[in-house]
Amino acid sequence: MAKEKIYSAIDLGSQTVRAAIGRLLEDGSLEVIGYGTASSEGIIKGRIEDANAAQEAVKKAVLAAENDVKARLTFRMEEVAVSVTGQIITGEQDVTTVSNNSRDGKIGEKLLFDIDSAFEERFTHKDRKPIHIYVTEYVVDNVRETSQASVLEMQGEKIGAKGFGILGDSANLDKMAGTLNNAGHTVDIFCFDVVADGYSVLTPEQRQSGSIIINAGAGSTDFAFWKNGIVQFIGSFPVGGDHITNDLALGLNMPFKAAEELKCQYDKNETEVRVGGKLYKTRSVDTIVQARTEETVRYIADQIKQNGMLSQIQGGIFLTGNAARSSFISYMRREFSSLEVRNAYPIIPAEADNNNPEEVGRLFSPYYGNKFQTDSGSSTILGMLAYAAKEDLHTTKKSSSGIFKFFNLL
Amino acid sequence: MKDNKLLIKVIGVGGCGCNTVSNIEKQYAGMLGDNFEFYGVDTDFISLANQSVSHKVQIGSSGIGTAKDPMKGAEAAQKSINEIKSMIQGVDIAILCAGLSGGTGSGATGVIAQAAAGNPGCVVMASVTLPFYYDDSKKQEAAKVALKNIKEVVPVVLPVQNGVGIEDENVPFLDVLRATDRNVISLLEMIKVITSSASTVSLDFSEFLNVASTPGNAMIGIGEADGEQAVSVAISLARSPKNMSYGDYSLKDASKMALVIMGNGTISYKQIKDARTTLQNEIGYQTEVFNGLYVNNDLENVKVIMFATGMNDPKEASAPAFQTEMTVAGPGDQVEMGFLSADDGYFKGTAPAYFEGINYDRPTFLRKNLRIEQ
Repeated sequence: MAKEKIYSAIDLGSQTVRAAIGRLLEDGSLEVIGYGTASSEGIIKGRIEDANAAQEAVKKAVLAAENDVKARLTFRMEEVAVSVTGQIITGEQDVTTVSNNSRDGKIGEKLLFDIDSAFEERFTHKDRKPIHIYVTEYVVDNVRETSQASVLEMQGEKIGAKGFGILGDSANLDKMAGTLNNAGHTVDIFCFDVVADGYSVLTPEQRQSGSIIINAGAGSTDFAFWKNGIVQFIGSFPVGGDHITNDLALGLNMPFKAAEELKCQYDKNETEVRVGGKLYKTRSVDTIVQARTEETVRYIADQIKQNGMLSQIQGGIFLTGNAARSSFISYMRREFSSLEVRNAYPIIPAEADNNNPEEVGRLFSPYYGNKFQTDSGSSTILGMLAYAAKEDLHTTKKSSSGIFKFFNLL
Repeated sequence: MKDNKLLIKVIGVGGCGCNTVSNIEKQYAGMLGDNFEFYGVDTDFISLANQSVSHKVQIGSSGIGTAKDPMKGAEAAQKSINEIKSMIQGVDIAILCAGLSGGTGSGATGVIAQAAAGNPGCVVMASVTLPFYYDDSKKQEAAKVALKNIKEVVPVVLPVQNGVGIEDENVPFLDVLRATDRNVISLLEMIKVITSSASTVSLDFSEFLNVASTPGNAMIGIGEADGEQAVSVAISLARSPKNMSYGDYSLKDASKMALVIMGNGTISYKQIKDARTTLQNEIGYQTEVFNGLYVNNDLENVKVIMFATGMNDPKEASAPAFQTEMTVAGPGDQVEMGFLSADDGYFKGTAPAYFEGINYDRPTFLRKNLRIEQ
């Protein structure tokens, strides 16, 4: 590692906007040194609906994070990693082949970079652009391999590859970039929330062995299947916590904010719940909440089962965001009784974990105590810092090899 | 019906459909008997010539395929309408098999279905294969359009997506393609059992036709089990995603179901009662279930085939819930809750969360017509 570097990230949530600052140390660990939040305004269902309001919310969160910066540093967030969620994201698979023209017939890094570039081209459409690209499988003379390390130095005239792209809707990404630009930031990279979560709540072993992350946000419920250290499948259901609140507001004829309070307060063991001086029947609240939750879980569970992931999940199913604090987990456990299904929180000890020294972006922080370990909502912002550090390292590697960009994260 | 003999024609349309029918004929024709005839219909002469199916009908005049253009597929079928009419003459049940990734299956299936429906009393069903989820959006969209067009003329459609339900992805690719044939095989087996076996509890052919004529989406599944809970387990397996053709709809939305249970004489009343009660509790009592028990003492295991029909597309299903008024119990008495617009509430003015035909911004309790007490 040449020198310390500082990374910034902004999580544009529909309920909360979060900002964080991290310092990458020479040993590859990443120290979280600044964190700030603000109530989200102008962002609904993961889209910017009111650019001015969203800009103000971003400014507040960023200011809070900058003022919070520890370690006697002064830092201003300029280039940032930004989260994306929900319906503006799609997953796509494709295959490509590249001829090996090297003199010795061996597969080298250059050829692997050529494959990345081929996928970048394939995943770029008129209205969508790639934000993450993963090569999920290589085929060299009928031998299938799942990692770059395995195919490097192999002999072969032609290399085939299967790629998985996570694509964002160009118009919405541009709108987000414009809003952040007006707030004084340049978007360095976009990151899908459940990709970021993978770097904060999963261990490298869990990312390797087959794990599902489900992030139930305010505007959507996203999930990703991690295996062999990369994302192999994603999905998004356009329903989040705000939908439950809206259902309560409409069904029980009450204001949205009171409904939000009702949603957080109701206890199944009580027959009634009082909000704003009015009593509501718990049974009615529960009917509305359970109908939404069951529908959401059922969609996600069907996706997992129908797309062949079930037999590959060795790590477990991990719930973040609102999913980690609702009846979501009971439904999920019912659907996947033979698997470990549990709430997940950022793994961020006070001191850097050096058991996996090759893993760049190992999060730690001596400054926040247990703050993050109990806040599932912070998984995306923290994971983005780790992702930004990894992406930066590989971009640098590729640039130093004379190739513009390198996507595949180890 | 020819010479008072029930006649079922299984017709593959296009390359994918012809492959399916060729495979099924090769493997199952002997078991099914002579009530079943197998046809392949294609625009591509060479492809058709390479198929093993007994009866072949080349449509269109060029013989060179459609270059994945459904319009060309439909035009070819219209040009050869006389050959098609001759093919489906006297048929009682026409089961059309097609893949919706190309031109012939997507375009000609509707034309053949219309011609078959012209036979008085003929029941027409289609088993169609949709592209893999990783296929490009152009292919997906073309398949959606083709499916919509087919649904306009074919009353009962069994859609199945390529690759769905494959748990072990290391199986050979050809096995994945063949997995979609199971819809048709299950359907044929059900018809064979109903028409040729003595039933202990009656499910006669007219009841099967009643189920098979109910318009809408259809699902079929097959399950086999042994042990004390064999019937329940076989039913669970039959309706699992691995074994059942899943679409964007739920078994709970089925209006009719034919349920065939096959096993030896040891199947107990308790086994049947428990399994049926569980099934009905899960799918709801609004679904009319016609079931038949077929006892064959040579069978070691219990086998179940479940065929459900009458499922609307999600969009169609959700609409009526919003057009009807909903009763909400108030404190002490009942109050009427009026029509709630989809634009009401927090999401007003935002892009609606349309997903697979449903606007998910609309509250679930309204779409499902759940009763809310206030």
